[in-house]
Amino acid sequence: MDIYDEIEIEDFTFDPELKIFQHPCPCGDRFAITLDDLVDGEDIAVCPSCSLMVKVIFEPEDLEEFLED
Amino acid sequence: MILACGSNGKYQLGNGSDEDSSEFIPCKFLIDGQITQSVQRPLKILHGGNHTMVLFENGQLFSCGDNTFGQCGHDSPQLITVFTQVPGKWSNASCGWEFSILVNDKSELFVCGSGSKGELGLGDTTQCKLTKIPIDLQVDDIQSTVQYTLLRSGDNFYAWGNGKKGQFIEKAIFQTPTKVDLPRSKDIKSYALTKDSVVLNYGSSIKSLGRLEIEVQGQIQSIKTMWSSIHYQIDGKLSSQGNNSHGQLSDNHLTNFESFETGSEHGILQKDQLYSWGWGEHGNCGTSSEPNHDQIVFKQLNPIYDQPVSLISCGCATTFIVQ
Repeated sequence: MDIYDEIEIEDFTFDPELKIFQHPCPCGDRFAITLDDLVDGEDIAVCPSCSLMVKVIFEPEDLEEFLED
Repeated sequence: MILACGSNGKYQLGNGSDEDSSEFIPCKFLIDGQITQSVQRPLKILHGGNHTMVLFENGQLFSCGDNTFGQCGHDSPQLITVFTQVPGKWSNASCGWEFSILVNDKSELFVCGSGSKGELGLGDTTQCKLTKIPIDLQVDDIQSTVQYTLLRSGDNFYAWGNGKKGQFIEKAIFQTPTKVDLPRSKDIKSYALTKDSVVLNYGSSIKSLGRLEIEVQGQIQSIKTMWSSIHYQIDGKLSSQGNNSHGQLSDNHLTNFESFETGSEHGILQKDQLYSWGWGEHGNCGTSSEPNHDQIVFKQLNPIYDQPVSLISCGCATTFIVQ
């Protein structure tokens, strides 16, 4: 399946409780990817309500401010 | 009667159900304690991420869908299952992801909902009750997209919300309404917003600012936007530029049509009947009768409705028509 879009990490909203990054999806739900997945080098955020996926544009150092300890 | 199909997980189609539908289902209105489907042709229909507003010429405004942050203009409940009237007399409105902006008959601006990037024009805030934006402006046009709003007042334009892609010229978040010096603002005939771009129609050219920058010359009849593409009728033909990951770009050089409308990532074209194209995963493009069609990507125009309509309006994977 084609990637719908590429979104910079600064355009995601970080939920510190769930440790996930989210961004609006054109279906009304939100693309989501966990901080752990990003740390592991994954970069595809998926929407729980549809098949659309976006590629997260980031550098490993962008994650530092979200990592504790 | 208003009919709707598409994404409905938060009751944004206003038919009392939260099931998506690929068939048009009548919208329900709560009027004088009774549920009715019989309403006049509205002035316009506005679409948020998961909420919908219907504005009538007499100033009545109804809303439904996700009201978690009060974005439907009601104090409660969290989900509004059928169109319910917002008290007041309104002349215009616009909706973004989780917020709404209402203009009353005195040209005063009221906002409700949530926005952490200045979407409400009141800073990083949530307002579960309609709250006045302290600004005195004649409102000639107002449009909102996912995270920002652009308002026209005479030859002046004011923006607020997330403009970090350069759509307000300066790459910035405007927490409150801020005047933006759009190029040749006096000559702007109309404008439209993608998720990250402001598209300006000068009548004989189009220019866009922000993530998707285009410049087009020609006789422009109309411009419409999806979240990530720009569509325009130029010299009588339909043309598109931008993201085509899911069939969003229309068949270039299409002629002999009456009008078209666009939603988040799909479009509806009116000619001898209504046709859909683009991303239709939630039933917002109807159902394709082609064998083995995935019912997700509609690259070809798909016949969706063959009766006369007086208004078409599309939202986030939703399609509304007025009989």
